Order: sequence, then C-alpha cells, then structure tokens
Amino acid sequence: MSFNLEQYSKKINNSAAAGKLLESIFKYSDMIDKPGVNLMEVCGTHTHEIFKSGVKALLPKKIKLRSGPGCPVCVTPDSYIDGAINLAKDKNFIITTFGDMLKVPGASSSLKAEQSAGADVRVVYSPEESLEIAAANPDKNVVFLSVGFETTVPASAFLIKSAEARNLNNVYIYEANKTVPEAILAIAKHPAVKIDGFILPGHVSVIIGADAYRAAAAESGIPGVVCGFEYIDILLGINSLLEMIYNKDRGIRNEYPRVVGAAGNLTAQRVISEIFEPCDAEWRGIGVIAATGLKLREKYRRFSAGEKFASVITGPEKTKGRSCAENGCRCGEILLSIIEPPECPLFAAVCNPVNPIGPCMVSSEGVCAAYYKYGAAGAEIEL
Amino acid sequence: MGIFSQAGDFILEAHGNGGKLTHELIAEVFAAGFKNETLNEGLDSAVMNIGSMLESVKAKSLADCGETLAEARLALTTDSYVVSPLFFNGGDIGKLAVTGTLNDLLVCGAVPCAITCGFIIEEGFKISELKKIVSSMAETAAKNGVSIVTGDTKVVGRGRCDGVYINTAGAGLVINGADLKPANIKAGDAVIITGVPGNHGICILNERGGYVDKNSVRSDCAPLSKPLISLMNKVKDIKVMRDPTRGGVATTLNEFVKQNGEIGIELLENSIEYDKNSKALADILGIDLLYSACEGHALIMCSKESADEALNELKKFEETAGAKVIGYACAKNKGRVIIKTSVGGARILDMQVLEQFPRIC
Repeated sequence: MSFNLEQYSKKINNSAAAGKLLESIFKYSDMIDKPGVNLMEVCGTHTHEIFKSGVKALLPKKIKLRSGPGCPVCVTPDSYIDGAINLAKDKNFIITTFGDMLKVPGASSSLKAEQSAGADVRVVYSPEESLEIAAANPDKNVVFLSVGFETTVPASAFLIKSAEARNLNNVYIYEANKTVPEAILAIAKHPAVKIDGFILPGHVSVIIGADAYRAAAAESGIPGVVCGFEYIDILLGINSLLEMIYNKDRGIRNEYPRVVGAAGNLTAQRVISEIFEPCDAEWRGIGVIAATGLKLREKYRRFSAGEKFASVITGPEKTKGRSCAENGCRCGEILLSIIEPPECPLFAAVCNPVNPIGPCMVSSEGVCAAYYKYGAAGAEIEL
Repeated sequence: MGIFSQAGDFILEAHGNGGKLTHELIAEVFAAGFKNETLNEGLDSAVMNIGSMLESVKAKSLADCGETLAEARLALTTDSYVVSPLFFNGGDIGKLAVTGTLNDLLVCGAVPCAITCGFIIEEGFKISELKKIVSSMAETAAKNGVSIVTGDTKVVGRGRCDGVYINTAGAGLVINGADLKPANIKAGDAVIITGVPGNHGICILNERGGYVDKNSVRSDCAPLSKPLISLMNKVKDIKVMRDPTRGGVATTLNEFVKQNGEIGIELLENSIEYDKNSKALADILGIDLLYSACEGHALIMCSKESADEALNELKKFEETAGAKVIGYACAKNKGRVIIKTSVGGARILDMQVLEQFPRIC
C-alpha cells in the first residue's frame, strides 16, 4: 500500500470563493418562501468536515443541516455487534476489522474490551490484509467484519476473490454491508423526517455514480447534490441545493465531477455484483429496509461467517446486558435526524467518547462524536 | 571480552543477573558509550558537586544569571520511552529519550546538567542494536553539553517487553529566576510554536503502517537547548513554555487554559503551517496534526509586545527557524481553545479524549 502524497496535497479550498458562495446562499435562503430549510448530509465525513471547517456557524439561521445515517458503523444493528463479540471470544477465531468497530458497545462488552482480555482482534486498513493473517494461522478461522457502504464493498469483494484464487479455506466475512440509494428513499418517505434536500455522499458516489440517486429523487420529489469533502465543496453543494429547492427542481446534481461520474466505477460495480446480491437489511433505528443489504451469492456462500458460524454468533452476549436503546440511547432518532445529539438525555454527561453508550459516539464518522468533539459537549463559542 | 563474546550478539537473561555478564555489558556497552568521570566512579549513585554544576550552567548558558548557590533551584524530571519501532526516520529510542528529557527541563527554564538512564531489555535483543541506541544517546547528550551520569540495566524474558524500554531522569538548574507556568498567561499574550506541528506522531504511524515511503515523513525529534537557552537570556517576558508531545498542540494548549483558569486561547487556522507530506498523510488517515506529537518543538507564550523579539531570536537557530505566532490568549471563551477556521468559522479544539495512537514516545 502506498499513497500518492503529491496528489493528496492538492486542495481547492479558497476563502474568497467561499465568501461569494455564502453571499449566494444567503440570497437563496431569503428567496425560498419557507420558515426553515432542512438539508440532510447523509455522510458522516461531511458531518465532521462541516464542524471542523466551521461552516455550520456561517450559514443563515433558517438553513438547518441535519445529519443522516451515513456512518456505516452507526447503522449496524446491535445483533451484529453482539455477534462479532461472540466470535471474538471464541479462541478458534481471529477477527479482522476496520478500527471504528473496536469500541462500539455491545450488550456487555466491546471488541476492544475483548481484545484487552486476550481475544485476537486485529485492525486492518484493507480487508485483504486478512489473507496473510489467514495464511499464517491455518488453525484459526479469520473473520473480516464486512461493514460499510458501497465505498468499501469492492474491497470485501476482492477479499473473497483472492481467498478463492489462493484456495484459502479459513477466511470468511461477516456480512453487514449496506447500499445507500434505497435508504435515502426510505428516509425521504419516513413520516417523522422532514428533509428539503440531500447532500449526497461523495465517496459512495465514486462507486455507484450520480445517476444512482435519480430514481429516489423522482419518487420522493426531494432533490440531491453529490458533494465533495472540502469546505468549498460543501458550500457549493448547499448553494446548488438551495437553488434547486427555489426552482422546484427535483433532480440530482453532481457538484463533485472531478471524481464522480454519472455512471460511477463500472469495474467496481461488476466486482460487487459478481460476489454479492441484494438482500433486505436491518438499519439501527430505522428497521429493515428492503434491498439495502448485500449477501454473498450462492457460489461464494461458503465464505459467509454469518452462515457457517451462526451458532457461535448467536452466543450469550445479547443476554448479558442491555442494548444501547434499552439504556436510553436515542440513536434511532439521531440517525434519522429527528433529534440532534444534545437533545438526547445521555449526551455528554453519561455518553461520551470515554464511556460511549451508543455507536454514534464511538465512530469517527458518528454524529454524536462530531457534536462532542467540535462542540465540546454543546458549549457555545463567543466570536 | 571473555564470557561476553561467547554470548554472541544477543542479550541473555544472565546479562541482567548482576554478575559477570552484567559487568561486561555495562563496561563494554554503557560505560564505553557514555564515558564520563561521574559514571566512571562506578558508585551506586552519581555523586556531583552542586557548585561546579552552577558554574558550568553559567558558562554554558552565557547568561548573566546571578543565581548564587543559595538561590539556585533544581529542576528534576523523569520520563519513560517505549516507542515502537525503536529506529525511525529522524531518530531512535536513544535520541528520543535524551531529547525528551532535555526538552522537559528546558521548557521549565532550566539548563540541563545531568541525565540518568534505566534500560529494560528483552532477552534476545541484539547487542549491536543496543550499542547503536547507546551511541545515539551519548551523541545527543554530548552535543547538548550534558553527561549521562548513572544508569541501570534489567533484562526480562523474551516476549516480556518489546526490545528495549528506557527510563530517564534529568536534572537542570533554573536560570534567570525563571518562573514559567500557565498561571502567568494574560489575555493578549501570543502563542508561538517553534516549527510545524505533529511530525513525530505521524512519522511513527507511517513507520508502523508503511503507508508511504519512510523518507517522506520525518520525526522532528531534536533537543532545543540552544534556541531555548538563548531565548531565555534575550527575552524577559516569557510566560510559559511546554513541549507538545503526546496529545500534541491541542492538548498542551488546553492544559494551559485549564491550569490558568482565567483565559481562553484563540488560534488562527490560516497562521498554522504544516509539513506538506505530513499534512497529506494525516488527511488520508483522518488524523488532525494538532493532536499529533512533536518531539522537537515547543509552544511558547509571551507578551504580545515581545513576540517579535522572541521570533527573531528563535529564527537564528535551525531547529526553530520555522517559529510563528499562531494565536493569542483572550479573555473570552475562558477555559477553552478555539480555532478560527480559514473559511471564517470557528470550532472548539478540545483536549485529546482517547489515544490517537499508542507508543509514539
């Protein structure tokens, strides 16, 4: 693995351009004949950049940025977390995972706690690292926790392809991948959610393409803008969205064309559909949404930890404590933006990064973590 | 070289048993590397004359420091080093141990006089690597005019520690009646950083993860003896200094506001410069360099009026040539560090809550 630092050093942020965009945002905000405009940034990375750059405080008061369910760790249901903990506790398993999953609380424990107690839980940056671990530990079952949206699914798919090519029979994935467009439609149609426009996730769109959201926008009548991650991208996205709302344009606009195409990355899409097929999936706080999950196709089902180790996964963890919702965590409403984190009675005082009750306080993309980190538990800044 | 040479290039548990192998190890690795009069005495403690320490501090610092023996104040610090990997771009655990100890003394207004070290070594560790670490410590200490005056060696079984851990203590004498502490900070005081933040932390992370070529990000590990002693002699209005190691700039500034209790600190995002490669890698990995450790830079707070004088002094030295004012203490936002973002917004820069990455120093 080697990143190209030169390429990554190029930033397009520009404070003069930001000033002009803000002027335009204020203009549209005045022109839109509504007391409030709710824009949902679906992606957790957008949420964090909005706080980090300070954009939130510069917007007109009537523009409300609502954070959506775009943190893959956060929308993963309790049953999955408990299942992963049950696997980790079993000495026959090595768990490989992205770092964000470690501290997510299960009913009585977390992967981090199990790791400290001796479980073999390894953080990987790429799922394919699981292959070397499996090759070096032929007497163990290596299970990658395959959590994530379309952005990371291709990497899981490649893991399966490579495992097959190398004839490794001790590497598995525990599937919990999810797909975004259908979920956006479900949010748009949710009776308690009032959203006027969607700021659509840039990374996911690189894979699926900007056109992937058109059906959802047409059906819901709510426009969306595919948006990059620098503050200038976010301001551009907000400005476009306001312009579309003002003009009653219910389509999709791509304001991240430097990396997102209309059709997306066809190679990645092919690999995904070669290995996976759609299935219904449970989203924390939202419930089951049809055809938003991915399961291994019949040909690759032997790599499914969910199927092969079902008896280990349904082990005792769930019965040993209470789920975060049972502890009073309002992550369901937070993920749908029905309430903001400071409205949850647990926020900051009981639930904080040191002692997280729910996943949204744990993940680096989680909305509660963003409110806590950049808002220091809700304190106001005197400018 | 008798028994010692038969052991080959590996540390044995017997090297820690106090017997012949221990003596061989001390003589051939530590005494040979650190050689100085006090250490050569071979006593159970380093015994030093405080009067000559004061004279040497006066000579070293070129200060008109008027301290008499009765007024002299001792600064004493201790630190343990467990960095992984032991050798990294820009230094190694030995250089880091001496550097960290020197910088801890310097930021308290003290001129370093003597360092001690305790080694905990894993059985099977290569003696040739140990020699490299010792020579790196000796070189760093010598360049900064201090001696490593006493030490200790323990060996633990294979798998009981990760190669080598080093504990140090450092002693120095405070010059010019300095009384540097966060309580001195007043609204309006400038925040100076002596160079780009976060390079040590991100370098160590890259050494472990292998994300980019190891030569493209380099630890800033460097003792600040020359620039900080010179600064203390020239600029009378220094309020507090601290080296932002674990938790980085953000955490150190939060310590300042919390220990002071009466002020806030406002940073200007546009004033903060970063190493281009470090920033790119940190962005890729989702790390904020303001929370990443420095091992060769200090945060200095001084009155606004003396900030230019301080910068002029610091810029004379290679280690601190990139010194900059990055913000000011203020009466509002009491107890908080805020950062004015380049787009014109603001956010709170809170203290590091959980570990960003362990074993960086």
